[in-house]
Amino acid sequence: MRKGCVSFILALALFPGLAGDLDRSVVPQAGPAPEIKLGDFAFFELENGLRVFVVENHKLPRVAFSLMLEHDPVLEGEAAGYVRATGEMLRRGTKTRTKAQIDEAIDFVGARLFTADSMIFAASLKKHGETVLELMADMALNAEFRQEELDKIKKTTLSELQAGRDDPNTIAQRLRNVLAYGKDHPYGEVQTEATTDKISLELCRTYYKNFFRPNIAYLAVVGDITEAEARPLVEKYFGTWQRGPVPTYTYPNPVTPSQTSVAVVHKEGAVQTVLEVLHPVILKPGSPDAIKASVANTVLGGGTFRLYNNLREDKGYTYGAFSNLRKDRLVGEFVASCSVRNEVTAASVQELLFEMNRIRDELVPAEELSLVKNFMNGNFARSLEDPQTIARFAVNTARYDLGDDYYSNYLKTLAGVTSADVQAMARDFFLPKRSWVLAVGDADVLISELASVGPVHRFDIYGNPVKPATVELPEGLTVQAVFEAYLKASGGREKLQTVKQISTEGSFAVGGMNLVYSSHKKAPNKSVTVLSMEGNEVMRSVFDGQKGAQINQGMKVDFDEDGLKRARVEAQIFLELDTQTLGITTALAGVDMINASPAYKVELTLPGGAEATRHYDVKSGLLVQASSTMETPQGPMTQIVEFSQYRDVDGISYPHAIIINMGQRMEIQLKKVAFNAGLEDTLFQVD
Amino acid sequence: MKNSWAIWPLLFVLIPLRAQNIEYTEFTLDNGLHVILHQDNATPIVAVSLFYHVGSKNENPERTGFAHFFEHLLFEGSKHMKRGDFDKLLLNAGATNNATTDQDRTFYYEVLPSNQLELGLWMEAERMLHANILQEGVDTQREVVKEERRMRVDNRPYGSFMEQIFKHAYSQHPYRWSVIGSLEHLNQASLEEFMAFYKEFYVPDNAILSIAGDLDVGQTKQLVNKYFGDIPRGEKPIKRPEIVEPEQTAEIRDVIYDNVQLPGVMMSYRIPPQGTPDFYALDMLMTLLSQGESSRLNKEIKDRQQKALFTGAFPLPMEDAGQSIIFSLVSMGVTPEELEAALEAEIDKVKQELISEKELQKLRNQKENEFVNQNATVFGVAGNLARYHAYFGDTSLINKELDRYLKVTREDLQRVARKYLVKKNRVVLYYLPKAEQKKEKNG
Repeated sequence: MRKGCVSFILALALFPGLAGDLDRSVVPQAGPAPEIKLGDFAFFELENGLRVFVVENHKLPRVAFSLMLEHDPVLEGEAAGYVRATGEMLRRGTKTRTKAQIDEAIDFVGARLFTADSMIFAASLKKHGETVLELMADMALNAEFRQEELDKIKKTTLSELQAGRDDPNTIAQRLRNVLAYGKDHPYGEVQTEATTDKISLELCRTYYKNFFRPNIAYLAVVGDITEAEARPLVEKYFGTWQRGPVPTYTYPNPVTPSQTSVAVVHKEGAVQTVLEVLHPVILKPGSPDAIKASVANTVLGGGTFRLYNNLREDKGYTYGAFSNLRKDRLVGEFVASCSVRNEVTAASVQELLFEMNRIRDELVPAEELSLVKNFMNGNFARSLEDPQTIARFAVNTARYDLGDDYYSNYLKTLAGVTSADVQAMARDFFLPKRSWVLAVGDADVLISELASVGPVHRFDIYGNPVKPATVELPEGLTVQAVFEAYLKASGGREKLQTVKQISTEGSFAVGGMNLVYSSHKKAPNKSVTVLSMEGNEVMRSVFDGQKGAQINQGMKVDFDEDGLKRARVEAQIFLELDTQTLGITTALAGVDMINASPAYKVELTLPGGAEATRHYDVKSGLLVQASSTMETPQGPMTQIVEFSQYRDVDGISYPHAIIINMGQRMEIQLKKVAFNAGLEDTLFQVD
Repeated sequence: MKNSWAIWPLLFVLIPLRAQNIEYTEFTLDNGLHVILHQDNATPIVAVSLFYHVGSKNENPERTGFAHFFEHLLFEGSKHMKRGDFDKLLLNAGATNNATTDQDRTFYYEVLPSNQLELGLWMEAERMLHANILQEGVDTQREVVKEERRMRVDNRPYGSFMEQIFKHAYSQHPYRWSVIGSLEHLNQASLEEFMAFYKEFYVPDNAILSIAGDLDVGQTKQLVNKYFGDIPRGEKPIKRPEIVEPEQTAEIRDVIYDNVQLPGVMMSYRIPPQGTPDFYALDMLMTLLSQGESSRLNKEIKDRQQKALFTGAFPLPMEDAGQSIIFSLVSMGVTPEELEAALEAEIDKVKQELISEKELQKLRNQKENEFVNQNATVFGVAGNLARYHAYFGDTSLINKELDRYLKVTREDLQRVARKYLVKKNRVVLYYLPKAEQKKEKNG
């Protein structure tokens, strides 16, 4: 027994912490900090100027190649977006390969490959490395741009732009760039439907010829490969790449606003506001301030820190509030952002500015600074697991001309950052008195909420300034007068009264498909509208004066009471001729900006109670917009129709572009407009 | 040797692949906790993870959402951690952490600098032994879960599709309810019920502790014993559901109106559990259909016919019979019916014609690439070690599972297409814009 006891006690002595004497209330201390060693890399340069870095990592049998071009940004002007399109097209064709062949080649070896305007990246298992490198080189050296592919890209871009019209985050990002850099700087240019339309193969080819040159390129080779293996491959596939002159550009740096100002962009029906406080900064990667500035930004909002703790944890205004300080070779930006409920927008702005001021005015307490540095330390350590990190360090050291020990000293430098450093950086880079406050949401709410922050400027979703409607309703103006002006501009009351029938036909393109639109009306109140695709009818809406129905691909739904009432009114060709007999009451409601032009707003109440509005351009008198709201089980839904491109048809001015917006947007281009063309009643048959 | 590289690809095709060998040590403590350790000193970090073999399928049908709720509750503190301490301690240690829940398991992990391993172990032991299950925490996390549901499901276009598929595909099996569960059930549940769930499932004999990274195996064993050795095992055997979902005999279809711009078509087929031969064949089949720009659906329907803006096909690996989902969004102007017909046509092709040898080789290459990359991080390795042990009872599959994929033949692909991708075995959902619902009503 005794022997057993002794050995038991001995065991306890040898292995402290075994069952019984563990005090779980004690938080374990960290062990000695592990040595963090950055991996090595090899470097060689081809005769044509291509600089190559090789980072060996034999943990897994895989390899990755990144080709990067270092050049000045390009001011795209009226074809904004062509640089990005060029990047996408690299993936879609070379002199000897079609898109399908490229797709097959990449997928066959289970690789990943993507292209951008100044970069090509490919990753695969080592055994397929040569295959992907050859493909990459083919794209870089022998790209071929084909109209078919450009057309596809343009169509997709249009869909993306459309989807983004409703997305407050897309809008905010665009406006951020416009405000920080201005529209005349490459970083602030805006791609729209119009600029996308102007993208041509010629532009893409010129860009490619100018910038895909080895003398401005870096190639990072990372993974299960040695320099001895990499070199002959790179020589083989990139050796024939011709160096060439590369255009350079300089741009004047944007300036911060002279006083903090507010930029408001309207988003219909928004219950939340996307809020950003931002301004440009000059802070280059690798500059002596760079690491200290990062620390300052982290303290403010680079994680769950001051902005997060204030606006989320403490006040509950938002799900998350953060800040970002973007370094750039030319010019970067500071942005503090969050999404907040409408009611707390003003309060949120106050808190954002408060925190920006606090970090400038007061020294960061030692404990808080220590926490932030530990966080950044951990991030750095974890980033080293990815061999791409070392490659990035190697390339950055070269392209930004950093000292060779910049990254190996990173943690040491980080540890040496003081509270005084943080304050100095905050004073240089966080400028609460010279910022833009960007708010995307309900403009009416925002303009009143934020008026006290600074001068308010309104912008549309593309960053164009919107002038507030300074046009007042003239004294004594009546609905009748507005109608008369419209009728006159359209051809005169007398002429319009002779129109008993109208036929219109047009088309609209949607996702690569062409749909045909045709609409006929016959006085006093027959109408039919048909949408078809490739000869097949997709939708028909018809009213014969008594009854009506809508047929969606064979499924017929008869108009109910409300539908019939509405149909009677919508069947009118020029309802402004006589609203009284139709039982419509009208009221002049004010002046609104429609597409940056003032327009008189007329409110209509139809028989049955349904409401609609029509806007008539102040200058021309023409109808520019009509909207109506319908009750649905999901709540009220608004349909807005815009009219433009008025053209003369037999002495009558009629809109040839009709844009219908009801959640989705249809832009119809009328190809044919005819009056009194002898329409038969059978055209309006419901059964 | 200029040509040496050229013969390598050939060599590797002929030789069965051993991508890399993940070495590991595993053992089970007296209390049933299974422990797996993988040493990798390349980077000074370590991933500590705890795999609890409890998911939504273990829940009481009147109390759904419990498993996921615990994922949140376990951040509320423990006997020796106040509310907020968990995140604060890890932040200060330079670590990241997260947790996920699905139908079969709940998974917690931290990635820490390697000199903080003991902190990670202490924290997970705290959560296993005596997490705070208190009213304040329950009330707070109920609100958080409500917000999460809003963000992930309600406010996200097509966000409810998984929930809807499972609701339609199962009538008896616990997979029929969503992982996030019913907010009503969570509101009705008492503190005692939460405590009972914790006592039943959050026990060492229902868990796997998987650690990968810059560690020393001997020292780590000691630390594991120190913090987990005397945690008592569960008092009763773990309840595992034994319900077998009856065979589906007819196609199930439904239409869901959502805040979306473009209609979506989802087709989901019932498939056998992970690890079965047919599952591997179905996985390869889904790869054939949608992985890469040259895949069947992308090449034909997205690029050539331009009927879809997006297509994807993925099998869900689950412990009981799961689902394989084909998810597609129409291009503007295309109807969901047309898209469905186009998808059906591609599936028919696979049933009618054997794929080519070259295509099979492509699938094998794609799978091999995936297999190698899944162990690229210590976090990935830790998760995979636990998963292979829990579901397959064989941790060595972390090095060998690829072989099962490579055994799948062209005939297998055709066979499983014919057997499983049939109308009576599927759920078809159309996601339509809310505007369409109004149109249909008003005419």
